[in-house]
Amino acid sequence: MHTVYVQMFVISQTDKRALYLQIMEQIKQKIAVGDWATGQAIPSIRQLASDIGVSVITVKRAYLELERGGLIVTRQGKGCFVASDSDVGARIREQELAQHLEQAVRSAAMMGVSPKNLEKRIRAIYDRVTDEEKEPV
Amino acid sequence: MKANVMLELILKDWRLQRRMIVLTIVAGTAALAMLLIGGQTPLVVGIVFYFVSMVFCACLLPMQNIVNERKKQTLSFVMSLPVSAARYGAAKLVSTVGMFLIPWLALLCAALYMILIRHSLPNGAIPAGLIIMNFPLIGFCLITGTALVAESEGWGTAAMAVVNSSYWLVWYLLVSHVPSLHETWSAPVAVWSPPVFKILGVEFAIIVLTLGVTLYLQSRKRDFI
Amino acid sequence: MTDCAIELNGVCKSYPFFDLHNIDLQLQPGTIMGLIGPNGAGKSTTIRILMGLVHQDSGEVNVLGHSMPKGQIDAKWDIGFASEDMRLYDSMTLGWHIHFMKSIYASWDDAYSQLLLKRFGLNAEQKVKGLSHGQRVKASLLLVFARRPKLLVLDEPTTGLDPVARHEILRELTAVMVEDGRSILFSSHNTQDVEQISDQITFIDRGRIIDSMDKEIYLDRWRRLRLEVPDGVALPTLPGVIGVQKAGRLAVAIANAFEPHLPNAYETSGARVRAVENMTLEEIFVANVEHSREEVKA
Repeated sequence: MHTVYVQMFVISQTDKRALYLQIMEQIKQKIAVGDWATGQAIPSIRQLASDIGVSVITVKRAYLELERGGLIVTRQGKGCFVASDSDVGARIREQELAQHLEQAVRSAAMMGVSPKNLEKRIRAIYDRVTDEEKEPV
Repeated sequence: MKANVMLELILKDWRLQRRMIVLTIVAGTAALAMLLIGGQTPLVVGIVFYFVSMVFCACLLPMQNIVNERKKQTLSFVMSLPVSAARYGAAKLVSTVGMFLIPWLALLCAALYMILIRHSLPNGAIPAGLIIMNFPLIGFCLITGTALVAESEGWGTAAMAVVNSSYWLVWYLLVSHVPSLHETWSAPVAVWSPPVFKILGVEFAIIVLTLGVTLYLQSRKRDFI
Repeated sequence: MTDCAIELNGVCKSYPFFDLHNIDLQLQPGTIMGLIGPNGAGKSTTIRILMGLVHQDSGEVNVLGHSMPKGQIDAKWDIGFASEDMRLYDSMTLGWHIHFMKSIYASWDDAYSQLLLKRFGLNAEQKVKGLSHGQRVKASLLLVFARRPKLLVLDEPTTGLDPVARHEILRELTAVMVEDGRSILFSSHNTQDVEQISDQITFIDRGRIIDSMDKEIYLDRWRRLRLEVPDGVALPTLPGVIGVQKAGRLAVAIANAFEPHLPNAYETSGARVRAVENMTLEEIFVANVEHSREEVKA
């Protein structure tokens, strides 16, 4: 069996997240691992929509959000590119953290957990996790 | 240069129906060939089957070429092409009538050949023969017009039934009211009397009227599918 | 004005047992519109009207700049139409049909049609009567795709297809969009397909358009909220919420105009919001149709 090289975008209808979020996620992964290198040209919105098999408008939204987050840039007349600063990977991870934190805080607020209590619990988790990392696996 | 869609539709119809046309010509010619055997029975059998092959084509061609488009649901396919209901109807009428005229004219010539060259029948039979040959042609126009305008298999079949039962009745009426018709058909010479011309004139008028009314009604349609 | 690929304005059509009422619809060029609605809603009638196959009783229809049904001949040079009840000539081969299309349309792309024959697993030598349902549908669509028309109008293109065939068709549909300026209108029962490839969704029920908008915006407006309602708490009627189902102390609220502060509004009343969930287009479909039918009754 030989290796087949494809665009490798797989979207799922049963995934609870919206399509555009799934696409953003996979683009971020491609950038983070370096498959889409910094400064490299990326497929146009229409081309990617056709490659994945989704609506243009969904890819447009994904690109818009990614541009807003500074991960890609659109140059008028030239196309779309991965942002050319070197810490794009770090920026992605930073955004992910921000997202996770936001989610956690929202859940806590909805359950009525106080900020102080929340801080205490975060600290406890942090201590546990860093202890786990110190121990040999 | 944009393609001529109506022409392509007519050619398409020919491609789909040509087998039936050829079969009709073969059947009618074979029936006429029976006259060469000689004798009363082959004569009658031959003439009957000759007439039957024309009637067969007159019934089947409108049903297969017109009614089937709707019945077999190919109409949407045709109407998706750059054509209007009016143009479709016109092309359909041209192809149907045109395709019928091929065996009709061919068999007419075959009959004239049998009479004038082979002398299987006296020349006096020609005027009456021509009048009879117009029966399937008129019947065909009536069935075609009904099929195209009414767009239903039911109406087409009804037209077929009415037309087919009328041939003998009309012939009987003509023979009993126009003595010159059968008085001269055994004569060695064709007799073209005024009643014969009148009858031929009426037949022609019916054909033109039927086709004209069909075209008119077809062009007035608002909901095609 | 009309740089729309399709524009319907106030289109009405009366039948003995069914009315199409005040249909307003706009298809932006270079986009895909999915037309969804229950059986008998009027999808096929609307499509027939915009193809000029049926004359509307009132209202304007413009397709690719041509007024329909008058300009239908000119319009149809650039429209590729296929419907679920359409059939090909079963005594003829697929190859004959391809040749027939080629003799009419100069835009026929032979290379692409060969590629599609392979992709769809079809044999040009085969007579149409020998084709299975799925193969027949693919054959009809091949005859449309290989012309590369500016506008594709497809009435239920994936109905009755197995998952592999559906995937093949969706792939070709989205591939059309790579060329700027080509547009697609398709109707479907399959909400998954519509959700995946449409840029715009139009909802039709009982002869009326109940929604027509950008798919992403539309999906964003709908949410399902799972609520815990303690005893003695009355759920408020909130704008943007079209229905609440309650059983015991649990309730589910369906919102069709979701705002971020909606959960807070419930929390303030004493209820607890356990989850805020996105809805699939199928769920939206059912909720929307039920809601709009209630509204008409009221």
